[in-house]
Formats: sequence, C-alpha cells, structure tokens
Amino acid sequence: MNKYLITGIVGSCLWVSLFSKAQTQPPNCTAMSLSEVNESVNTFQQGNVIVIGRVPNHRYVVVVPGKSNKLLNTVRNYIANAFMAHHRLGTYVYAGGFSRRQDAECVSLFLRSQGLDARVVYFH
Amino acid sequence: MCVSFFEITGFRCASCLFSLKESTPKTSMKNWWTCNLIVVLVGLVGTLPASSAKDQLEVRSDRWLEVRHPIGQVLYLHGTKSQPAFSGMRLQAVGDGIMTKQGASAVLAIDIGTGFINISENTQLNIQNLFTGRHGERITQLQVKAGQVRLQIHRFTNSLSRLEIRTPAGIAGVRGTEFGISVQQSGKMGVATIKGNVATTAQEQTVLVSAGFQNITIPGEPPSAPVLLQDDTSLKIRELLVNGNQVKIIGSIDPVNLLIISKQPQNTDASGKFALSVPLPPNRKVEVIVETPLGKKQLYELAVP
Repeated sequence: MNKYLITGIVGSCLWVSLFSKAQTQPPNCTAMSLSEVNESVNTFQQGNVIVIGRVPNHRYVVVVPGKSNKLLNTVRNYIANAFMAHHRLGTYVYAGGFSRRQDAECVSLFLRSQGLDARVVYFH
Repeated sequence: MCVSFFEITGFRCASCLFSLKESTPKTSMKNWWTCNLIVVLVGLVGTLPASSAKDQLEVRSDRWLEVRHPIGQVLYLHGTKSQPAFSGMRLQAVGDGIMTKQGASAVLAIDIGTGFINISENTQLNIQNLFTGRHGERITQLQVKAGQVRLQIHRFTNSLSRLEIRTPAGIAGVRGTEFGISVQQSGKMGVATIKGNVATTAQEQTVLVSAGFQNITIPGEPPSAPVLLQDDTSLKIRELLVNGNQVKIIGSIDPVNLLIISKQPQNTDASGKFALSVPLPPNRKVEVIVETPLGKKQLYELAVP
C-alpha cells in the first residue's frame, strides 16, 4: 500500500515538475531558428529591390502590443528588423511575419519566455 | 568759357584752348560738346586695355566642362535659361551649370586630362570659377547645392592648381584624388575618399579626409572627424505608423548618405536619423532610395502593415 502511495506521489510530482518546465522553457525550435529569424524576418530581396515590412504571404505575424521605445529596443535585441506599427486596436511591435503558423508560434514562445507579451495574429 | 573735366582735374583740353581764340557763342558751344566727347572717348579707350589684360591673366577660354553621356532629363543652365544638355556641350562661363532630374545622370569631363565628374540624379552643379592663373595653375571652383557627385581627378602637375567643390556646409578641396560628395537639401555634406586626400573646410577649420575615410559637414559647424569609409546603403526602419492617409516613417541611414522617399530628397540629422510623414500609396508600398557619396544606390520598398 505504502509502495503504491509513494510511487503515486513521486510520479505526480515528477509529472508536474516536468510539465511546468516544458511550459516555461523556450521551445526547442528557437535555438535553431532565431539566427535565421534575425536575418530574414521583415526583409527580403525582390530583384534589385529590398522589401522591408510586411512580407507577402507571411500572414502569421508575431506582435507585441505597446508603443514604448524601450519595448521596441527589447524586441530588437532578439529580432533586429522589428519595427513599430499601428492598427486600429492600438500600436504594437511588428516582430515578424511567417508563412507557417508553427514558426510564428515558435518565435512568439521565445519572446514570451523573455518576458514579452508576444502573440501570433493572422493578417488578411 | 570752356570748362571740361580735364580742367577740373588740372589738365587743359586742346579743343578748349582753340575755342578761346574764336569767341562766338555758337562755336564755343560746339567746341564745348566736342571737348567733352573727346574726354569721354579717351576715358573709355583708357579702360579697355586694363580689363582685357586682367582677363588674360586670370580667365582664359581654354577651360571648360564638357557634358558626356547624359542619361534622362539633364538640363544645361546658362544665366536664367535652361535647355536639354547633349553630349559634347561645354560649360565655360561662371554661373554655367548642369541639373539632373529624377533618374537622370551625366558625366562632366574637366577640360583635357584633369578628370571626370559623375553627376547623379537630383543634382545641380554650377561653375563658380574656372580659369588658368598667371603661373599656369588651373583653378576650378564648382558649387553643388544638392545631390551627389563623384570625382576622379588626376594628380595636378602644377602645385598651385586646385579643385574645390563648394556646398552650403563647406568646401571640399582636392589635388589628385578619387572621391564622392553628397549634399542634402539641408546643405549637409558627406565626403568619401577612395584615393588621395580631400580637405574639407568649414567655419575656418579644415579636416583632411584620407583614402578609406569619410566625414560629414553640417552647415554652421566645422567638419566632423573622419571615420572609416562605409559605402553602406543599409536602411534601418524603427516605425511605420499609419495615420489616416499618411504614414510616419522613422529610421536611420549612414549620415553621409542621401535619402529619397517617394521621389523626394529628404534630410537626415548628424547621426543619420530621420522622422517624416509621407502620403500612404493605395498599395501601401513606399519607395525609398539610399545613395552613398560614391554613388552606390539601393532601392527599398517599405511594405506598410
């Protein structure tokens, strides 16, 4: 009886600790994709023209609501090309646009792990 | 009764002496006019050799800037008139100039063997002085009010020769070099040197910009200390804020560069920062051009979210 009780308690404790760790740790994808993100997000070459801003077909956008320079500088520590933009709902930092939702979620999770209120929105 | 200017200055006119012998009033009046006419003519003839001698000493017609390879809308400026420039056209007189419009360019050859000036779009260049001095030195002083020029100047054989580009912010003087100058609408001048040395002068201070360096000069301030040559056309955008049918753009470029947004030249501050609002096009794409003093260009498109 005690054996089962102890196993149950230890098991549940391990489960909780592992689960909560998975929630707070940055996702595995960030280490691989952030350098790539830094270079390619919000900027792409189209012939001899460099396009900056909203990249076509990159509809999953990571945004961080707010309009302070401090916030923008913090985001730019991780994503150099992030910029401030405006929507009718308010001003936000346009961290980056992605064609695949999972890439956007990955960057969003990383920014959240750094204490930023990042989220993914879909731009029509 | 004859009183002439010569009498006043202590000389005596021969016709007047003659007129004293014939004392009729009619002939006296005639002689008075003749006397004055001679005086005026002698005075005029006396001034002619002086001015032509001065011309021979300082201004010779063997100096010119010849237009080559005009592309797009290039205008030749002469006095208050302007006309389309064509290859082979020569700028010789003080005040003669050349103006390039959006997307246009031209090359000016500085007489025989002195060098070339590559003129970029949205640029105006005028002759301030172009002459050969009494010791054979070639003095070339050109004014660039706005735009970008790149010069390739051969080393001068006469040590007194000099070439100067004057801008609203200061003067860039060279003696055998290859360099570029950008001038913003505000007058801010950027200088980048590839070969030789360029002396930038403003507010009675001169800063030498050697090969591989660049600097800026802001109107009313002395030239900045030279920094390593960048020739970097990168554009950093911090804000793209839509407000009604306008978009506020905040960003930065290398301070020596030129910035053109929606085909309009714009100013940047001493650190290359800018903040401005332009009409938002229906496709929400704003065209931006960044150009270095050496003429390197990069076209950008700001896709406004």
